[in-house]
Amino acid sequence: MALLLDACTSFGVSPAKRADWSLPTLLAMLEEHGVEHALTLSLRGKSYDFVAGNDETLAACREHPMLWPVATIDPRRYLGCVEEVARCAAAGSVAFRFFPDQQGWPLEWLPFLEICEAIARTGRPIILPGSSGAITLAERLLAPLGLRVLFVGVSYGYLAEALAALKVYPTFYFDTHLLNTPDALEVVCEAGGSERIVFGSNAPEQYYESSLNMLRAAELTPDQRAALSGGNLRRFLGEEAPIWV
Amino acid sequence: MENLVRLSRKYDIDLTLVSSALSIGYDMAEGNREVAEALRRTDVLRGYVYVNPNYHHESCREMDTYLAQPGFVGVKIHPSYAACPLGSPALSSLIDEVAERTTLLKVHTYAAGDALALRPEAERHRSLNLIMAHACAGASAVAAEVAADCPNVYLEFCCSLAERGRVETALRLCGSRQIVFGSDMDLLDPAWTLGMFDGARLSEEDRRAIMHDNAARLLGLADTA
Repeated sequence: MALLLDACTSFGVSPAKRADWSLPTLLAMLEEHGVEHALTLSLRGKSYDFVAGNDETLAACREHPMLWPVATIDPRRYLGCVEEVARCAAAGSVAFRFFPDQQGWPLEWLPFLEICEAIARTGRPIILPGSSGAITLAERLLAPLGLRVLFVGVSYGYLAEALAALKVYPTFYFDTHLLNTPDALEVVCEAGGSERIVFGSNAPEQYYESSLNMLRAAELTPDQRAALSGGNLRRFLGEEAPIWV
Repeated sequence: MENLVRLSRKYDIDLTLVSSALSIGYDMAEGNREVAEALRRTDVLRGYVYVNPNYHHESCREMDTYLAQPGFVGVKIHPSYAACPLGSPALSSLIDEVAERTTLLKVHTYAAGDALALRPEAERHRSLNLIMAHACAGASAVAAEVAADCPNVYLEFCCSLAERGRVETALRLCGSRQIVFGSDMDLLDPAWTLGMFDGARLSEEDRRAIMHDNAARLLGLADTA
């Protein structure tokens, strides 16, 4: 297996179900599977307080350089959100991830779009859920800003949107953590996604082996495998991002 | 069918139990005919007769026709597609008919309520082995609790939710003897669900039970009890 970068991980507490999603568990899973680097964020930022969560993410990534920090912002707070973009970008966050489904706000929401405009000025990309309609909406709302967008959790139910978007929007990327249909990775590559699909595990919430088995079993060329395993994620992050990358 | 056979070979799956998506999503009888035809063309598949509680008498006729044929090993019900939930009189009545005709029923389950509603059916029909397809997805702990109380209930884990720990929780609650491997081919790739069991770090004994022995026992393939 080529160098492996993981585009979708997190760490924290699971309030709704007894589960170990702790940072040590995430690190152990990444190490066990030979992951070189992983994008990650603290779930505190998704579920409770994004400023405190972003601080927790940045601290974890400083302590464990294999982790690359993703910031998150909940637009419902509004006040201070644009300032948080600048603060996190200056601190080295490599991307900004949003959770509209869990937090209950629509993509076509002015507070969110204002944050996206601020992110666009930093050169950082954003990460959105690949849930139904999100990809189509994002094209209308975000493509004019020139943002690179990674959609995570695109499953077979939403694959049509992803395949359609691959044809026309070169700044849209997709992760693999729910691509679980037979030959799914091959199909996406054939549809033009060889350069815009990135490996993601959704660890530690998800069994690492489920998404990794899909990558291992896929019949890909060496170039495609290298791209999915890391090259595409580096391109997605861009040259601006990293003091970490 | 060709794709099922291809994927079975790719992942070293010796025997695959199938039902017809055509039956589930549209026409029960046409789909069952499709399965019967497939069983005549390959020896690596076995069939479930699909039944629909909205068509009680026709479902009984389907069971009487196909369970007598070689290759058919049990019955499949999908309460969601039939819009007839577990616990409803129509479905309960049809399960009575199933229990008179076979010892193996696979039921689509995707929520805690499905497991809770299946419990009285399992208790009423002790000789009917019930496989909870998808093990109630995110509520697989509840499914495992029901299995722990009902020795004729089995869990099968395929689904898009590869939530870490769901297999280990079931092992702790009901043990490996009531877990069977299912892939959801060819909607899902077997690699996906195999990954759940790889991640659960099964003992050799548990792996053998889940990947072979339990299904073999249910199908009467060998004396593995």
